[in-house]
Amino acid sequence: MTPEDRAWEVVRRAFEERDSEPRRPRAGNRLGLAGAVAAVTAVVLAALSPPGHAVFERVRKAVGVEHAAPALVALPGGGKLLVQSAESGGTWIVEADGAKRELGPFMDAAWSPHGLYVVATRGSELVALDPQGRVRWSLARRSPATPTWTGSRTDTRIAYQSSNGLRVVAGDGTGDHLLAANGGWIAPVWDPGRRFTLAYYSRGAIVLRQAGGRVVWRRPISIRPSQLAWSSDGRYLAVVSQHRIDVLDARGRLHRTISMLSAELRIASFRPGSHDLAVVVRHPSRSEVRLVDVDHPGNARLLFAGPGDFGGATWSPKGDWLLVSWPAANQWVFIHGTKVHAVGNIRRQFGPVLQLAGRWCC
Amino acid sequence: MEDHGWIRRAQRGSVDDLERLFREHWPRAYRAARLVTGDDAAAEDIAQEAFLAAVRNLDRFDRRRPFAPWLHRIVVNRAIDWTRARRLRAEVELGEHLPAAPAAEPDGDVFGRIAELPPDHRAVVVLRYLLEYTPGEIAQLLDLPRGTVNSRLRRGLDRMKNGT
Repeated sequence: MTPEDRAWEVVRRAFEERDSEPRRPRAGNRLGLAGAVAAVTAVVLAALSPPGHAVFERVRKAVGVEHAAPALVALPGGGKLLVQSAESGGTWIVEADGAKRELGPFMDAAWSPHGLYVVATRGSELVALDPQGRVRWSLARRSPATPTWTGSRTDTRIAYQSSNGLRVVAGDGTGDHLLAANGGWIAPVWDPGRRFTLAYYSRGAIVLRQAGGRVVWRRPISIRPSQLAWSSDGRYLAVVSQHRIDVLDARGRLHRTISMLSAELRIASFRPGSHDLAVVVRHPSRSEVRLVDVDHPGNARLLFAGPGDFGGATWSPKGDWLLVSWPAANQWVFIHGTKVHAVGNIRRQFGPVLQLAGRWCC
Repeated sequence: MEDHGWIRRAQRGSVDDLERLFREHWPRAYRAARLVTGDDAAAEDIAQEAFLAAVRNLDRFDRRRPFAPWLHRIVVNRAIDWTRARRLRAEVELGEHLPAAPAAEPDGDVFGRIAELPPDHRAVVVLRYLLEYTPGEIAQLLDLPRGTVNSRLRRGLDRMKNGT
């Protein structure tokens, strides 16, 4: 596909979205004065970006404080959500019906593969919890961090960082061992397409390695990554850095590189069951969420934009809803196609700085 | 030039006419951006953004005005901004890095010499010698005094001639 064809696809989609949306009112605004300042700011900024009209409508509906639900009463799309405070160390489980349960003062909480347990850290301990917050086992290690759990119902592994490197332990707390002394720069990620196989960054390269120690491949990269993210079929691995995302294929070959003009790339997350990559982009005064179809170059659809920072984003288990945290607006924004559902008063419900990525489970 | 008819029908919702307008103007918009930025991916982003701006403003577009200068103004201004920003940051920052089809260019030597000009001079040279605008039109496009356009053209050509 030539640059011209790629650009035409984007222009055509913007044109069609423009036609499918109701016309922008010429005068008058249904938003109240209180929400108008924030709304206008967001709208103007959003309109600078490609599918202007569609985003205009979405942001206008979402930003106004009066349009946000005052509390989280249900999770659109179902499932259950782990909410992790990055500052106070609180961890909550939110059920599909909106019921909240605080697990305790843990950090780095992550689900087990089927959402039956939670792994987290507490000081110098790696702990496995049941959903009621009871500790099933714990392991004393220096500075454990970013645990991630994979496997079947009968056999699982947890990878985590510690002060001496990247370690792996079985889901029942046995067999803890050092996998890589230099694998502790960013959170490792389990390959969903290979049993007990882990991707991590080490000394200028992405390494794919089995939990038993065998290196599957090692791919030198020129960026300093901040995050790794697999597509749910294990076909692509997104290596995210401040200004660029390298998308590797399952063999570690470079499939595509993504970046944006004058913007920082914060977080990327593949939509489950697809190769659509949601990317949180930070501009000097605003943030955006864009959806990049890794298989079809040129399709980078703007999903949502607004002033200030977005704190994080996570897909629902079925991939039909995207949750974006928006601390500046004290809101969570749930996005589903053209629908936007905003929930306000998030700080009062959970605390100031929240981590969501990868925490919306089955 | 059939721009006015294509725009009128696109305003009524015709995708085919929008595509005709796009295909007619894309090559020069892209090449202009590429010559100013010296970067394939950035040029693609910039030209694409210019067409998206056209789509957003389609309903309000005054059909009595020529389309090309309006589009080229956006392209060249954004290309200058991008080039300045890259110099300030001193790092490569692009759109989606994709294998781009090789575009037909002026001969490599001329291309290289254009790339060595400062962004402001580069834009004026591209508008004059690639897009064939008159100095008066360039002055209008870039909101510059005509004397400034002439002096940038002269200096640009001198630099290219002397290779400095």
